[in-house]
Amino acid sequence: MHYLRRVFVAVLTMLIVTTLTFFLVHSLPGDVFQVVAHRIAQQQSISFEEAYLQAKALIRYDPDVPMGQQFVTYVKGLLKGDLGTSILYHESVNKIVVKAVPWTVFVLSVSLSLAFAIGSLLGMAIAWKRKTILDPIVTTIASITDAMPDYVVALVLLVVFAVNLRWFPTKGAYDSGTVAGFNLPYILGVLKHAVLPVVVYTLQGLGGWALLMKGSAVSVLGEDYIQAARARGLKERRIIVSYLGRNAMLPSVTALAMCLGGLLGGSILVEVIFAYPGLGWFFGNAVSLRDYGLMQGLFFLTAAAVITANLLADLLYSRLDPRIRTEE
Amino acid sequence: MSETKHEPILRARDLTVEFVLRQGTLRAVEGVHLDVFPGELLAVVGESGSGKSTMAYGLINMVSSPGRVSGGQVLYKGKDVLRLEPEALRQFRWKEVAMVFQAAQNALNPVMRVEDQMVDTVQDHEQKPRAEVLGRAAELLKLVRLTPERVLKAYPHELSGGMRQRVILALSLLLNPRILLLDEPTTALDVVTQAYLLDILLEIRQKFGVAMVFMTHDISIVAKVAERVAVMYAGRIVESGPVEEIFYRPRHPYTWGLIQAAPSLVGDLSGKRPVQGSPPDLFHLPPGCRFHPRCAFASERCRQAEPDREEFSDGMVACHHWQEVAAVREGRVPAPATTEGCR
Amino acid sequence: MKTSWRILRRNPRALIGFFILVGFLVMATIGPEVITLNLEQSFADRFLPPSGAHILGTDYVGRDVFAQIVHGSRDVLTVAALAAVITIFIGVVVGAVSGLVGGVTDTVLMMVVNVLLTVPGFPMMLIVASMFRVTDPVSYALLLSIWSWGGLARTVRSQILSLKKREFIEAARVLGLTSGHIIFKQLLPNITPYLAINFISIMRHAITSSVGIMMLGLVPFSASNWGMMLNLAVFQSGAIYTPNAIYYLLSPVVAICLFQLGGIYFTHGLDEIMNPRLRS
Repeated sequence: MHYLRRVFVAVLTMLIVTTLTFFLVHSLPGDVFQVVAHRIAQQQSISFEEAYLQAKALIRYDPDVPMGQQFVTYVKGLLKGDLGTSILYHESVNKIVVKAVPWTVFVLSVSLSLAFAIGSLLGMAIAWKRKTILDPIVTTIASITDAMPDYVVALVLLVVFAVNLRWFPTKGAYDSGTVAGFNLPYILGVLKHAVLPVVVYTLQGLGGWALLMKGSAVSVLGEDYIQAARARGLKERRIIVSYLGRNAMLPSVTALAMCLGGLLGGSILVEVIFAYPGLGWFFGNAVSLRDYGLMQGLFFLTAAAVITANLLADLLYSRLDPRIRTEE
Repeated sequence: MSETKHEPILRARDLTVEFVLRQGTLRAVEGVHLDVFPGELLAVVGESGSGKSTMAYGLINMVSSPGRVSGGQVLYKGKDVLRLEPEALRQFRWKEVAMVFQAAQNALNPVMRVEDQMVDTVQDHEQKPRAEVLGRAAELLKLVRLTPERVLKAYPHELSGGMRQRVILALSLLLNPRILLLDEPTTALDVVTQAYLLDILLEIRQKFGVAMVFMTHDISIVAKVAERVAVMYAGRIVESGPVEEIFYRPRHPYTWGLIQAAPSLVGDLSGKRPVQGSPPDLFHLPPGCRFHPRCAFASERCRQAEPDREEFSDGMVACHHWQEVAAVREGRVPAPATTEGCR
Repeated sequence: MKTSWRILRRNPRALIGFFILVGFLVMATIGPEVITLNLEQSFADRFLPPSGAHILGTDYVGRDVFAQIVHGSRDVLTVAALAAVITIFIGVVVGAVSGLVGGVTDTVLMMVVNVLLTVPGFPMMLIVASMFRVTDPVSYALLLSIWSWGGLARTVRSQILSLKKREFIEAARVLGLTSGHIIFKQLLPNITPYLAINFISIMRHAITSSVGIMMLGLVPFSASNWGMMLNLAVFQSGAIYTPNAIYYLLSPVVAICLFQLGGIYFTHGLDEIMNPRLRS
């Protein structure tokens, strides 16, 4: 019963987003079409009328057809999984997504795991052993990374480590000479290119996870059952893992599930700064070069991912905390 | 292992627990001497705030910050519990002395099933296969009148408060401890459930021969089940002895006041008087004997010096005027005028 | 007022934050009057290191960096402040209407808030910025606010809902006062501290977003704006690769970070002032 309601809300939100994106594109000032059509006409040396037709197909917007019908076509297309076409690259957004997704997901999942694991462990350590030097260090790092936007961190790292120290490459996702596949040069190249973006994301997230876990652990430590566990002569390791850990991690895990949705977004600016060809980079380019087809498709994808992830997070939490399960 | 009936298995000597707070240092337990004999039912009686719970925590060295044990020793089988190495202390806890907390509703881990918590408890002390542990757990659950099939696989929140308390009780017996400390086991229970629980406790004692130390403020419980009684006031033990002596021949004015104040189902209530006044502020204790502001027998001596312990063959008392109390009780001397009482 | 000052003094970080913010305020208001921005391009002077004449060096066409920072601060802070005002306004109004009116309006508005909070805002803002030409601070502030009032609306709404439930509403109704009137009078004192703290937080986020959007070259309405400086430095002038250009590159970065830090530290202090329970 509870599940149905959440699913319904998710679907409704999705609908709203779809409509929103649709109408956004339809509020494009009229001359944009002319511009795009001109561009296509020039690039492909075709007549303006043909270019206009192409433009219509690319942006999936035919100003001569009634709005209602257009909306239906649009939605039908989405349901079939067609995200549209890119004006710049002249290929389907789906194809671009397939090329870009692995990079974004790779970098983000590595960072998320690192930040989550290291952060949470630090958080628990601080809570368990109060008054160590770790507490102020972590809190300071957390407030600094809060203050610096991710693109700033990316810039600084780029300038210091890539340009000046030359420890890491400055752009791309893999070494240009290598061939994709399971060969060592390629894999090493991939790892080298991934280091800086991963560091940026991990640093951003670390503080937050640590503080989240710390807060949760501190409040669990105040609970009766921890005292009772000590009185029962349970081994310290067991208390930390099964009694403190399993209770303290509940908020963190929910938050983690929520973050999974962000995996398909990536930070646009970070990827642009590192010229890392993931979803963020493509979106950033689409925006600055006015590739409306790509913009629309990628935005829809990201929104859908976030909404789905939130829904799953909701459902997951109720599985983890048996107290909520019984309430349904 | 043979334990003579006259040798205590646990001896606390001069146990002192203090709390270091911003307003000052508070001594919740001071100079407490307590003996626990094998298999006995000892009741520790006192008002709320008298230090009973803190003393119990002190006995297993579990006083948590901002409190700390600041003096004394707790001897068990020749070793001082307060000076045990952490690993030895951990082993000692639950296996030798187990404690059932007040309001045990939240003593269970909410995300683990009851059976897993039972297994955890045993396996951290001795190597026993899971099946064996569960077998014993089932027996114990039946002893506390719960259905093992229903309870073992349950999560704590699926059980009622009363059921959880009995689960904790069963849990406390898993390792067959020699002593069971029970902090206010019957508070917040209605009279019928109280009787039920006491029944169970007596059955446990009979079956396992475990010594039970009850911390309670309820005199009627004491009357029903205790064999020996220790009376606590403001962190000190003021009197102890066999239950009949305490009830029929109390030596300390406070004890006498408690006995007199307890209403009974039959009989005349007109003679009943509560102990006048209220417990002292532990930050600002009265000089000399802590009870003197509320005591009908108080004299200048009581204001100046804390009473020494007077030992008897079967108990003790700490009062300057205990002989007078006895005399008044036996009718040999008229009762003194009652004091004004306190604030 | 005196207690506030006393609390600030006891908390060194809050004090630092306060002074940083005041510094920026001065820079944004008086700075451009005092320091002139010379937009002449002089290729020979490009990427000069800091010196007496140019405290932070020069950019890729020889213009003084410090002057650009000072002039840019006015734009950046104006946009951020405006965005904060608009966001708070919309958030409070929507939250209040939702809470007071209830019913279908409430459900609909909360649905909207739900969308706003789930769907990622930054990409949305980028899309809008790329489609519509933003040429002045006010419309830019509007753009930045559209997606950010959701959380505020929710909080205001829940405050109102909890106030509605309190008994004194019944009592006041008996006296003939309208519940709207009472709630308003009760709401403001409760909400004001929260809004004050939020003002600075929203400004911080607005700066992050506005600079980010500008870095992608989407809102080029003033070249000395920090975001534009970064855009020019990173993507258009090859400043990344020129060693001396590091001052040009990092000046806006440091400016942004300083403001953010000042904002965070000061809001901690504000928290303590507004919420006596947090004081040690």
